[in-house]
Amino acid sequence: MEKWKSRWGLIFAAMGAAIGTGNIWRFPKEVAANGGGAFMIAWIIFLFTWSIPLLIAEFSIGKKTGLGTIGSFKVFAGKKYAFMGAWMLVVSTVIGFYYAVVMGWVIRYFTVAASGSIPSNTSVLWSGFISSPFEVIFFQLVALLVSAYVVYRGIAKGIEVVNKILIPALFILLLIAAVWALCLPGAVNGLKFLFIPRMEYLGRSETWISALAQSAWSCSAGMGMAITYAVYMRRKDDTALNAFITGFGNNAASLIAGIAVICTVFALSSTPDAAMGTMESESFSLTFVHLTRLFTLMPGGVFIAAIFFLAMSFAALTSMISGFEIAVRNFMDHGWSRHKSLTFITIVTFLLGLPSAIIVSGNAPVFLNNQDHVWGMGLIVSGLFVAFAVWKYGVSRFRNELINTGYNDIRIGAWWDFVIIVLFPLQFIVLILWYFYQSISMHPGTWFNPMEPTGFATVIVQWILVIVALIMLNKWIGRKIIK
Amino acid sequence: MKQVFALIIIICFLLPFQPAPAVNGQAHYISEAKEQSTYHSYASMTTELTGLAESHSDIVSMFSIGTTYEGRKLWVIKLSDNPDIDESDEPDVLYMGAHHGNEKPSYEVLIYFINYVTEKYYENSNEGSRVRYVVNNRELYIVPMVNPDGVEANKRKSQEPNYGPLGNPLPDIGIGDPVGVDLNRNYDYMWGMVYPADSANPYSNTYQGESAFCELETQAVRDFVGSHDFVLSLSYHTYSELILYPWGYTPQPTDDDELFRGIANGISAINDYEVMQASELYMTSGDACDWLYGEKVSLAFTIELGKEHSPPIEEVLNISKTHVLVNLYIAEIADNPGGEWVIREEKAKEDKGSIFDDTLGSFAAMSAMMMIMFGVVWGGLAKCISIAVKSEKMKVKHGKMEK
Repeated sequence: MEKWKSRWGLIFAAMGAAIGTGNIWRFPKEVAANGGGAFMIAWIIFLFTWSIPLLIAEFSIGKKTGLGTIGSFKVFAGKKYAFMGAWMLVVSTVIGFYYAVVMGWVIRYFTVAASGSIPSNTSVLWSGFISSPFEVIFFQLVALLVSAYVVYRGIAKGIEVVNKILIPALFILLLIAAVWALCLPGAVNGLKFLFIPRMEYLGRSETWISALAQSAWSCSAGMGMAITYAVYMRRKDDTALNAFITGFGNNAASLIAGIAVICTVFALSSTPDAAMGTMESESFSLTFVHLTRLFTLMPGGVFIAAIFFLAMSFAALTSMISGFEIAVRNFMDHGWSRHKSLTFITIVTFLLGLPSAIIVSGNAPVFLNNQDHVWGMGLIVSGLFVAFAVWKYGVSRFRNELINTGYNDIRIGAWWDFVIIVLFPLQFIVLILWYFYQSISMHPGTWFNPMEPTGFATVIVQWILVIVALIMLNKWIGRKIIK
Repeated sequence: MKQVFALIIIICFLLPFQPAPAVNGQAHYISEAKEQSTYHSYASMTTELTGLAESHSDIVSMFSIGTTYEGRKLWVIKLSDNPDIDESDEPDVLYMGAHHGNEKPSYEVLIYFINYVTEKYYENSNEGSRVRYVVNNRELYIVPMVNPDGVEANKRKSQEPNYGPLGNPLPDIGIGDPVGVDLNRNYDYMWGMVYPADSANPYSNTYQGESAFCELETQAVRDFVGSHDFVLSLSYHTYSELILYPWGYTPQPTDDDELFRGIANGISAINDYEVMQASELYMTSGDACDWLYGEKVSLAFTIELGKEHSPPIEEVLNISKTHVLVNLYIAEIADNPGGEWVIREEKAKEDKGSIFDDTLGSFAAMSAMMMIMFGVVWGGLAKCISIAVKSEKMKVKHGKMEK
């Protein structure tokens, strides 16, 4: 089987998967809403109690089995649990359906910025763009073809090469945007808002839960990415240190993006109040309406807008690639060729992404928001499944036999056992209850209606449909794995 | 393959902009224009109010706070004793009407109120003494028409055309209205935040404008409100018989939810309208009340009058009579609504901007936290990478030795 050419290829690819658009538009919003530095304290803690331990487990499982998510669960947790691997496949693939659309938007905005034609009314630009289906589908298709082409070229020639170029480039672009923002008069207010810890927030449960959610979503832990990428490791490769580098790298990018976004907003808004108001707008509207408008207020801003959206495009591409590879790996385990798997998954992703591209109300992509609402949280369930596989194997045994193999650059101590056994289920329960509570309380009259796009019932109905289908197909899913 | 990509890239850049398609406003807003000769026009209102200000100069003053796109003056009537002096010990109350030009009763109630006050002030009756108390101990500011251009056109929105990307006025495409901004979406508090909504669409009847406070009318209100300290404010609209209080942009309650509901229930006891948080009706952002409360710390209510936009004039008269009492009630409680309000108002002013002050402490806290965060994250990253680099070097060495 094909292998990574070098360790750095794997590290950049894993970082590329972890760093996505969420680092750029979600992180700054969350910090702003939850007390700046206070949020960051919680966010750092959860890096070590959720994201990194989970990545370590995933890397170890993938490296051991040499199979994609379905095969890994079949081998690791037992035949009965192959459906859990299939769940991971479904979650990452369905996220891919709408992620391609989002990536298309970002590419579109890059072209608008790079050609210097951002109109003064960015609301009109945004609503006009997303409500013209052909334009959106065209860019969705561009996003898909570019991603598919990279995966088609294989691990070393495609994924590795692209990530080795794009991830350093992404960091450089973000740094340029951040430095530009810092040089604007008034940027210091943004820095203060971002970093001064407002300690009263540490006493609020919302701060901690938002930090956990941000950490869990942002690192791609639970996606199956680490399982899949570990398949192409060599026997003597490290897993533990690579997981740490992935996690730190992800957070490092978030910090830079946070400075770039928040300092831009504060420096270019008329008052700090207006800036704080802007930071509270929805992710899409923050990025595609407000930030886009603010960029145009400064000479040279259009250039930075182009850099910003190029960075976003890179972040999206490297994440999209990993989603494709997760699916392709699973199909290859069933005996298909890379070429055939990829053609199939690209067509499916295109067709099933169409509703997200087309169904729009006003300036809100309602179907896409629904899918993000449902499957974003599916990722947390995937995380629980990985922990379950480890529990079945025996947590200490897992650590001794599969993590501390002697090939790792660092030893993982007993803290990992504690995290997986005690903290993990605790965090899962808190997170999922909070999510359900929110999706009910935000829609007091309609949460039980499955047609409410961000309600409670829509999550449960879609999850149950998928889980039941997968359990019924469990035997068929697991039978065909070829080693 | 390369040629294909090159072609795609070229197409990406060549795709032209498409104008946003029109989306109809909420059904609630669609007005059926009925000409009512007995309603005031801008001109007849101006004449009437000018006359009142002259004949009752002891309690009425009239001044303009700005000019509209079509050149009309935005009139404010101040009702108070010594109307030409700003008496700082008297609480200020704000009444506004006709943010939406097609909602005529919203200014009729205010014109009626001004007439009522000037008439009753000298009367030896219970009503007279009630009016005298309010006029002598409060400063009432009334903006009967925030949107006189809209009133004259009998349109909801302001009347400056919206412009396309090339600076051309947007064409009429048969659906929606290419002219004007919904002034009650144009205030700079959480402006443009709520979506789904069609407020970003210039053809929509609820278009929020190109930016917050982009309209001359809202700018005038902003500057006027900024120079006063309004404890309470009422914004009149039509229709649905509702009393709305903030927030409009989020279903979350305000910190003063109880206070809002208490006062709203007080209003409801007079006019028998239904009380609800604005976002419960539908979510909006950039409306006057959210801004008045969120930015200016004023207890702000929206009252949706009556059962239609242009009821028969006799019905308007009934509504006006009822709302004289609402206006007086609001003025009366303005010295200390709910007890704790005034303290909160002051505290809010202190809290605001404290982290943005240029103090050594805030710089120190900021720098310390930055160093910690970058130390942990970037330091951790650097440390891990250096271990990995060393280990890779070792592997290369070992590989060579084995050979």
